[in-house]
Amino acid sequence: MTMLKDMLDDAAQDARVYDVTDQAVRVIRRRRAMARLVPVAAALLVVAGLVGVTRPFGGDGGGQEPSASAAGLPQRLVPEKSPPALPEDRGVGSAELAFVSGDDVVLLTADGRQYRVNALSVQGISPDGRWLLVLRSSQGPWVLRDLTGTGRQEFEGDTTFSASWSPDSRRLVVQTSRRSGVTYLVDLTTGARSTVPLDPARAGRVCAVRNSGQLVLCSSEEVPFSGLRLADGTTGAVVREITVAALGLAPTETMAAGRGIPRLDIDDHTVFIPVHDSAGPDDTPASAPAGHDRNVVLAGFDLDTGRLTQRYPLPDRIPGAQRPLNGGVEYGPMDNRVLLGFHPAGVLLVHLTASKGDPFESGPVTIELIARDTGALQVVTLTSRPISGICYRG
Amino acid sequence: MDDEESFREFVSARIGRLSRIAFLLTGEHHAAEDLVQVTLIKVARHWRRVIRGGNPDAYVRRALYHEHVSSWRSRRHREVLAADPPERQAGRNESVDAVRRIVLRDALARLAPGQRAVIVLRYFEDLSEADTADALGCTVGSVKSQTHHALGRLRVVAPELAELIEDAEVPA
Repeated sequence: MTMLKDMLDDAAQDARVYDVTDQAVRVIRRRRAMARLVPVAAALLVVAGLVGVTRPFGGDGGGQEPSASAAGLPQRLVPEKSPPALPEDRGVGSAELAFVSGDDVVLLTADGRQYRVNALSVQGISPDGRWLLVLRSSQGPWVLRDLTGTGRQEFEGDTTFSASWSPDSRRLVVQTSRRSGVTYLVDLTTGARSTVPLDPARAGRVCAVRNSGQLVLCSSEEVPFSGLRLADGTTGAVVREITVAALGLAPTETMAAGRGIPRLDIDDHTVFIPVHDSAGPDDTPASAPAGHDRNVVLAGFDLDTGRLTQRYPLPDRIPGAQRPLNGGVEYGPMDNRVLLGFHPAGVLLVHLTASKGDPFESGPVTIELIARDTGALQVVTLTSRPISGICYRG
Repeated sequence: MDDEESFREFVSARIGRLSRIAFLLTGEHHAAEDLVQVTLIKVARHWRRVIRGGNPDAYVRRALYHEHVSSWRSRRHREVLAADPPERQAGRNESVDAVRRIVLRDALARLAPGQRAVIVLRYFEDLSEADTADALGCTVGSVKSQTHHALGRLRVVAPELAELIEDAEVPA
């Protein structure tokens, strides 16, 4: 506790209670009522011949074109205004990805249809697109749904529930809670569920499961990254420890915060870890200019050969000059990329941007691909308006 | 519980603290009230998404500070700070603490909003550099730099507060 804090506490006592909740709620009601009238007005304009063509990709994303295509992913993703509910009594075919648009959780199937999912969030889609795992409400349960039929399983678990699929989509591993939860291994070919007796003191987080059922364990996000461990999916016994040094990372490199956990590629043996150099710009003296980027790379470690085989640098942020600044402080949503998943053509990233019109709001989201053959970063999917919570297969 | 009810319940439990932060950021009641209202409108607009995100407090904090900085940007050509605000001369018979409090408020008003924000986040809300960076949407390096410059500016505009500032600069 500093004297400055004490003095700020004192100064804050002069504040009144500005209870403006009613005003805020009234403003929102009014805006929603106006929003309901907008489609009617637009329809009238169309009838009057004043509006001929709409530009679904206007605004912030205007003019941008995808630079490549990735099989299965749409080049342009236009969230439907009122997609039908995902039917519970029949299958809809395999899914490609899920996302949140407005207040709706939306599922996009491989044949391009969109469905509204009755869920708070989508936790995962199996690599073959057949299985969907969702959190029904904040109190649970987690529901595993077969999208080709009506089969389902439920898991109790808190919001730290995590799940990973084997690349061949035959296994699913779930941790119902990272602190005190149970780890289940589900055989998706039979629906059989077994408990993995991991040592709770050392379990950390299950970040992947291999086709053989072997588990890849990593540190929880709350503690410093300490490498990977491989555990038997039946006995839970750790069969191999891979320290940070053994991963082949530089001594100053560690897992980058907020960039996702290590993920297993569809080749079943490369684990990609988002890492950054802790001796980089974030640890420079206080006099360092604002806007420095962290050098985040996706490091691919081959579990079979025990070697670091791939490094893909992530362009982390638009140039500082384009980011809102005030008194030297940057603000607005971060412009960055996070690992989305793996595609036969390369590594998929979600590129989150800030809106050019309103720095507080998120701008358009794009899906990008780091091509396996060239390492080039290419835009594969554009979105027509801000969406969030994108979940891809795997 | 519907969305509006849960929003009201959430705000009700936090309105006192939000008000105090807004007052420290703006230095006057009308601006603080405006800041709280605009923030709540932004939060209410996305309330379901905010809950779904799992950390509504962090969202509200970000909204409040971003609104503070952005609203200042739109107003900055209209605002003229008094060179020597009248309150400062009215405290001859007040206690030393009361005078210091007024001096601190005046000094905060002379900081750029981003600098004021880091001071409030670091020393009033007691957040770490990483959490402050998260709230402002900037890097930890930027927070360090801003804190350094803000304390330096406070030392210049309010030499009476040198003792407080030196104490704040001692690493925890």
